Amino acid sequence: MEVPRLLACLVLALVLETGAVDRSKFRTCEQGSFCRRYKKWIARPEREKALWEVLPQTRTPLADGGVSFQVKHTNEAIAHLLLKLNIYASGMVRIRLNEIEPLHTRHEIPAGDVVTEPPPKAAQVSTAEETGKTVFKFAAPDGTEVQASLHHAPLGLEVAVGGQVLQRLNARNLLNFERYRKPKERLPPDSAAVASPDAVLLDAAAHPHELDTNGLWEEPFGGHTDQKPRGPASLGMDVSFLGDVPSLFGLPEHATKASLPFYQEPYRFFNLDVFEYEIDEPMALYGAIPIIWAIHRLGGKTMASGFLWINPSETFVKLERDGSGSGPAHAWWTSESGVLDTVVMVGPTPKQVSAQFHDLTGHGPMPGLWALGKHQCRWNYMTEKDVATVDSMYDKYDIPYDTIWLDIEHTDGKAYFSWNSAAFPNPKQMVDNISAKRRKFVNVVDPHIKKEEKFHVYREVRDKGLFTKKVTYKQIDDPSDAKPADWVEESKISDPSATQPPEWNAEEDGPWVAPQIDNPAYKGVWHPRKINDPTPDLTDFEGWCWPGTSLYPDFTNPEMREYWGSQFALDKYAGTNADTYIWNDMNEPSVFNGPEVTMPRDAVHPYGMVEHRDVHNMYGYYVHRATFEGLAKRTQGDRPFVLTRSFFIGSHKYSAIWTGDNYAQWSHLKASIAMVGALTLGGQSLVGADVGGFFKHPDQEMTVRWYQLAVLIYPFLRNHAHLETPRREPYVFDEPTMLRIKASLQLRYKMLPLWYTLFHQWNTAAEPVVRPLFWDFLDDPQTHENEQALEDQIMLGEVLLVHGITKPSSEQTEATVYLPKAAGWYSIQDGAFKSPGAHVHKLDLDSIPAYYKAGTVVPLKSRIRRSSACMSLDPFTLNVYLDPQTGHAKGRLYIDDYRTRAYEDGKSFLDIELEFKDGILKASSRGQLPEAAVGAEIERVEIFGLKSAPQSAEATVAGKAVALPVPKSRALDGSALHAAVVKVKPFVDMRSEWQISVK
Amino acid sequence: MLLVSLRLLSVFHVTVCTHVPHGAHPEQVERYAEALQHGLFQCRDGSEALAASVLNDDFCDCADGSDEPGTGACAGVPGAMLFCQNLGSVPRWVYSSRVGDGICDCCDGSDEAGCPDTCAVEGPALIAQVRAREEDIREGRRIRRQQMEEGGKQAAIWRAEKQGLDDELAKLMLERSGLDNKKAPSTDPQVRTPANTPKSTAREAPAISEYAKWSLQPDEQNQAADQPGELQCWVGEFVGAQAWCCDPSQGPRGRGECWDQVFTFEACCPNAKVATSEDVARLIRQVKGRIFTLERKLKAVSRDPRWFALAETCVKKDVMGKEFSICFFGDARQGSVSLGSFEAWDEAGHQQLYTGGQRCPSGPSRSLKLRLVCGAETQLLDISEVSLCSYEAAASAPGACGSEDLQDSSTPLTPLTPLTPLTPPQ
Repeated sequence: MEVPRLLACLVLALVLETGAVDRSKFRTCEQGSFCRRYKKWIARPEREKALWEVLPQTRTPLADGGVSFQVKHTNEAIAHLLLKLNIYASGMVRIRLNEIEPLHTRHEIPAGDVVTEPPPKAAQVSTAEETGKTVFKFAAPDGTEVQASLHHAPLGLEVAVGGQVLQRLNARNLLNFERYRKPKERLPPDSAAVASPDAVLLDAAAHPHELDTNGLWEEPFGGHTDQKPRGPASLGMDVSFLGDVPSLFGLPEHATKASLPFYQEPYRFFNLDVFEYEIDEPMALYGAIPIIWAIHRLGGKTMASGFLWINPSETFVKLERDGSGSGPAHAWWTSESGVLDTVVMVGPTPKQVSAQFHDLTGHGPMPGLWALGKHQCRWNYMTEKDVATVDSMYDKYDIPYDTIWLDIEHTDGKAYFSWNSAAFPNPKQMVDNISAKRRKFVNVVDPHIKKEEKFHVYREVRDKGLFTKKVTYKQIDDPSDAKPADWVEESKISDPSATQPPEWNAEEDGPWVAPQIDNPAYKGVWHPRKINDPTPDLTDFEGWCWPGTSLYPDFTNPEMREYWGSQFALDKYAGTNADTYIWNDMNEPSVFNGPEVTMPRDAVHPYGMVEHRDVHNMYGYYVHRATFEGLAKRTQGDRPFVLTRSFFIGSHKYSAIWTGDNYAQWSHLKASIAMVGALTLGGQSLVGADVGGFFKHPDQEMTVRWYQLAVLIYPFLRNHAHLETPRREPYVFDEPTMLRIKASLQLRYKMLPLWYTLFHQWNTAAEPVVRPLFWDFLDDPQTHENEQALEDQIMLGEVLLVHGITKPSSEQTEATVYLPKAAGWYSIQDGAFKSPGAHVHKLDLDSIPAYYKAGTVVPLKSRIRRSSACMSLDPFTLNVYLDPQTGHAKGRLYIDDYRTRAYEDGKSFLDIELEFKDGILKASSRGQLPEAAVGAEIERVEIFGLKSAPQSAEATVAGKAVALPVPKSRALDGSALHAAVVKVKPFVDMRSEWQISVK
Repeated sequence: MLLVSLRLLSVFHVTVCTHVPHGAHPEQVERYAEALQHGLFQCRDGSEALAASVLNDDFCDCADGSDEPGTGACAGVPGAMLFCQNLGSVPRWVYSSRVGDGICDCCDGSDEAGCPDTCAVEGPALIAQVRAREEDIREGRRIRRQQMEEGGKQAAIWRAEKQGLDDELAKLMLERSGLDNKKAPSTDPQVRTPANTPKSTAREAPAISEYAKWSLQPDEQNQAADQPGELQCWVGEFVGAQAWCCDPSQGPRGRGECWDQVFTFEACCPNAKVATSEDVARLIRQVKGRIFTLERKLKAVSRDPRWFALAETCVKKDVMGKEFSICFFGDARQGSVSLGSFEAWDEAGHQQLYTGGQRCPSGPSRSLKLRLVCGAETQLLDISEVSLCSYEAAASAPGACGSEDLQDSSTPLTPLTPLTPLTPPQ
């Protein structure tokens, strides 16, 4: 929920009617001084000239297994930068670049916040100094040889995998590193003293060509002026992706395509509350995971690699390529401040890139099963009765859902952690009633704190001094600035060229004095340099948000996070119970009257006196992390759940995210496929878009299509709506629509065992739960170049291909579905068999095209109840989709208690590998599931792709064989294959040794 | 404790209840007996004949779920339900999805292993409630029948009056065009004056009819009827309506903002140039006003004379400190703010729509959906703003009572079976 309502009123005529984002509010590259500067820097005429040089003789081993080198600028006397290079065993090369003795500490992300602590395991590396480069060799986990060559002059890194160069850093010599300098000084300390300092080619803030000094020390935008007391400090670099690169992926969060367009305008990362964002845009959105996935066709093979740019200040990335549509691709990056920290993930398979990313940033925790169910939200359910009615209407129509949500209107005047007592007089009773249905509750708790004396959070955070600060700068004389010894203060001197005229008569005229002339060496009156008072006035920063005047805690401070987390304790947060979880919205942070609707960059986080610009893109991360850690403490052993709108690299360890305030438009429905795919490639698997769109009202057909897609590809499945829109809960539509939505949700609940198993694969093996097709079918070129395969289709695990229908039936009556190279595909609806390739699929309103891959075993539950918890004891159904050639299929089923962290012990679960071969379904299991906590029986096996109808079935449990009823068979459409339903009576308990066979 | 395996539950019940399969309604005994003939079980939809042992064997064999009335095996299958007898309390149907889900839905515990029988505790109050509700419905239906009779008669009177007025209007229009053409008004001896029009006379029609004269009299009795006045000229009754609607520079405005097809720029705006004598113009205006009122009332009963009583009724309710009022087929308000005027019934005929209320600062104009449910008393049960400036309300009225109400629309969560058979409505 986002629209600043005050603003909404003001700009209503301009904005609401067109439904367009207000571009004038948000900066482009050209409007921000450092990006504009960088664009001029990289267009400089002497771009070939080596400026930064690695000094190989300074190579020093580091305690973390890496090595460091000093880096010297050619126009500086000594080395001022330190390069750290780490090679991690999972297949990553990381380089970092920082100032050796900076004027101000350059912000580095604390260890453990983004990159795990301890860091990933270092690789066994052999190092060799060669001419002009230092070469590091190591083996990737699959044995592939990787060679990372650190070129000395200019500084550059080349990473080759199996002899093929995949990535080159600083390949085009676009490196820029602006060292801190003293106020208003053009050059940083200790730069080479040259005759004409204007001619020095040093960095983007100091070079002689097209010099752009605007905005170095002060920068206005949109009625605000950024004070920039520390001056320019930006950095940038380019990376080239080599080979034939058909597509690049990633760069979440942008409302763009899956195969990233090469826009003229760079992609922007600056977490913002963007009102009514548009599709097919490189504009910044709410979160930032600056990762690029590249596909390289090289040396007859197809490989994948990743590139990560770890910097929480404002960042732009521009994609470029030499030709059109093929050949190498390039990206340049520039960030406003901080340090350069990049990681090359060498792949060379997508699975390994994902594994490398999570080795670096940590693995995501198992969500509670309920979090994968249906979430019902609205801005706003207004009263306790309203909540009870929504809950009971779901029950009236036997539609499953797990969680009901309350948006901001439930609070006492937007002071979070409180309740509007008129509308919610007995909140505890209300949440207990929801718990009694075995459902969950989520309340919104935003990070802006209402300025109100009676609000305890405001008082306590203020008194602890933990709010972010506004700095009022005063200018003083720089005490360190002494008058130089050679400063000439005489404005007049005797004219040295004058001589006493011959006619001069000293007796009459007096002694001759040479005439005074202007002193050519005169430098003017000396004034010490003005600097900002090092101890300026700090006051709590105040901005507007939902409550009116609000303050913004410094969540970068662990003490603040600890305090925040403690507020969720059940004895602190009145009216909640242990089934109440939390939604952090507006955490970019959104500041209605701030520049670009966020906090001014020159606000200061008192923890370390860090400027907001240095940490901006991580503010939201620290908010939801504090909430997560608080919930973990609130209920020991419980899996916390937090939903966040703003996020950064590593948010996956704590939070679900959604794609913010989308629009009830077909284009947004379609874009959600790409947006979800980009986020999962960025490690965020618990992700989804608001079903039906947030703004405006979806018609019945759009609603149905949205649900049909969402239940299959949104791991986080929430229906949400703007305050001004009509209600859109499934039951408010006409009966055919309601039944279609219900059928979609029932399908979701049927598939929950698969979803849960896929989250186990994410948790343990770093596999994205939903992913673009190339992730599973890298060798099929269609998955990196076919428009439909890229933009309309996505995979749920390796199991299910889904094709979204994102146009109304009046515009589209059939869809061309591309089925990648595999043993075959079975329709999820009727089991009809299809060969790989393009298929025209006639559309009806009851379903969208979705196909199970041949050769897989899919765990399901056939009994659909009102919530996922209600289904925990139910037996399983196993669907076997055979490879018709081999009669073989494999799959996995993961079961644990669905809600606690007991699984973290490495054994309190049942992790079952399933295999069907020669007519026998068998399992090999790992772990010990506590007896009776959850169901682990099989009640039903459905086999698709049999060559003939089976005549008998038999189960063997713990060595004892039992005849099963004769399977019911039918012929499958479009093939000579059969499907059979095996009634497993009695149930087979998968905790024992078992097998089921058909003949 | 509650979450004991479902299998135990079903086995237990199948063995104990030998006559009626567990979860089946007692009235379905015959159906099940029939289905089980010859040792086979026939699915209710006729799709399959299966071994008798499939009945309540905790596996969903029939596509319609009919083989598992007493287990959760067909949970989620449309129509799959368990009947709880709830002896001592109110029997009810629950979805199969509730069977064995760890929540006690039936007070007799028949949906769940480990649920205590609480029917004796909750029963008396629930039964009393159900009986009171049934009594209310019966009373509502009785009143409805009575109102329908009255409504039918009254509607006939209104229709006749309207017919007379329509004729009258036609004549007046002719008269006006006669004046326009500076000719004597034509008189048509064929004009029928309805006999049952109040105070109409059968005297020879003059240039201005007796009825028109009557309607112009400042007679209190007539004023008490719903006469058109200045205020009613404008549909929305908004501030400055006259100045706004009658601004000649703006030209005639549409229905949404000023008036509907009954009123016009010429009729409502005093300064508008009407090329005829003022008297005739005023008469036309007044006749049209009365026609509008009658049409509104007729609209109310046209669906069904059962709504006759509502056409003259308003209801009120305080919700969280705000006073709401609705005049059926008229206007809905919150305090002094208009929430809309009656526009139409929804397609299904369960809800009335009120539209064109006061416009919201940043949104649409206010509107209201009013759902009518059966009750002996006409009252506003509930009203709330479900989305910005969009309201939903429920009101009870005898007119809403029909045979379907015996299923009890007030507790829709699960179907409820009546305690005693009721005579079908006539």
